[in-house]
Amino acid sequence: MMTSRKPSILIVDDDDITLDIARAAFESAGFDVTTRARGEGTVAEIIQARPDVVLLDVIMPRTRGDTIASIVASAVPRGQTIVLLFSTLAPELLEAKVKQTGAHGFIGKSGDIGDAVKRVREWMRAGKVV
Amino acid sequence: MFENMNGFIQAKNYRIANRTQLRLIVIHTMENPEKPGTAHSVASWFGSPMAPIASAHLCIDDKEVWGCVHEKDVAFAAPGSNSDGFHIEHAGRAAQTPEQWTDEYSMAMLRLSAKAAADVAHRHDIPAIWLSSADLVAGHRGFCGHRDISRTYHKSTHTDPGPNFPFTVYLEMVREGLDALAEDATPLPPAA
Repeated sequence: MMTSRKPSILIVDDDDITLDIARAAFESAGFDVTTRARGEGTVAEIIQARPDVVLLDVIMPRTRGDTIASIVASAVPRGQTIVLLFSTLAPELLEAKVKQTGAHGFIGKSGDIGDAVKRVREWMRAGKVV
Repeated sequence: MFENMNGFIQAKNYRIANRTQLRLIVIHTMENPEKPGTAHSVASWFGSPMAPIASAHLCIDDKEVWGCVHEKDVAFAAPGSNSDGFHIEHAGRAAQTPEQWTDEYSMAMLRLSAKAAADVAHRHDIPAIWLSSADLVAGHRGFCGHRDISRTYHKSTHTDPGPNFPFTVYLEMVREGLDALAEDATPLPPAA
């Protein structure tokens, strides 16, 4: 009998309400969800757990999401984990940060986390993670 | 009808009710740009044949207030708070920065919104306090954002009005409105 593994996602955001809503949305979409409310320790967790997708808020106190993305890009094989910046910054700024950091891409924060779930699914299909 | 309402366009999707008591005033953003005419534009959309399965009691921008659902009726705005909530849509986006929320447009809009909210709060005995998830679950009365409803009841995934909505400033404006209404309601001392 074939069993299918749930896709795993790590969401890092310093806004606890966004984290809670995102957790509920991704869990109901069938993801295995881990959340972190701050950037410190995130790189180690990504290297150890190798989630399928990482969603990184950019503007966080102390360790920012773009800093984490840069380190992960050099430490984790590109095909193993899709790293996406998740931010309210303007798209042109995020595009520049994607190039600087080596992240796979970005998802702008809208007023509906459901949009982020759809975009992550698209990235996963494009990256053939599942 | 509110004192400063520009007009009423009945939303297509809502539930007729006869509510006499409200518990919550819920703040939303329309996810449309802060520009002139946004309130009328979104209110018209709610009322059009192309309307989404969504509505609110008021749509507000920097200059106009449009009614879409009567206060006694239930708007389809934030599942979990529809039956006892009064829902106000604001021009702008959940992704706005603190600076964008305190620019001239936003402040003018928040003043209009706070005046309308104070009117509702005064009549329904809703205090000008921002509620946490624990407060919502406990059944307390007050103000919150759609995102607080999403987090508490897990029935929607909306995050508006976003983490930077200036609720402290907004509630201060509501308190000023409540004070003015309380003053108006205070009987004058008898003439000497």
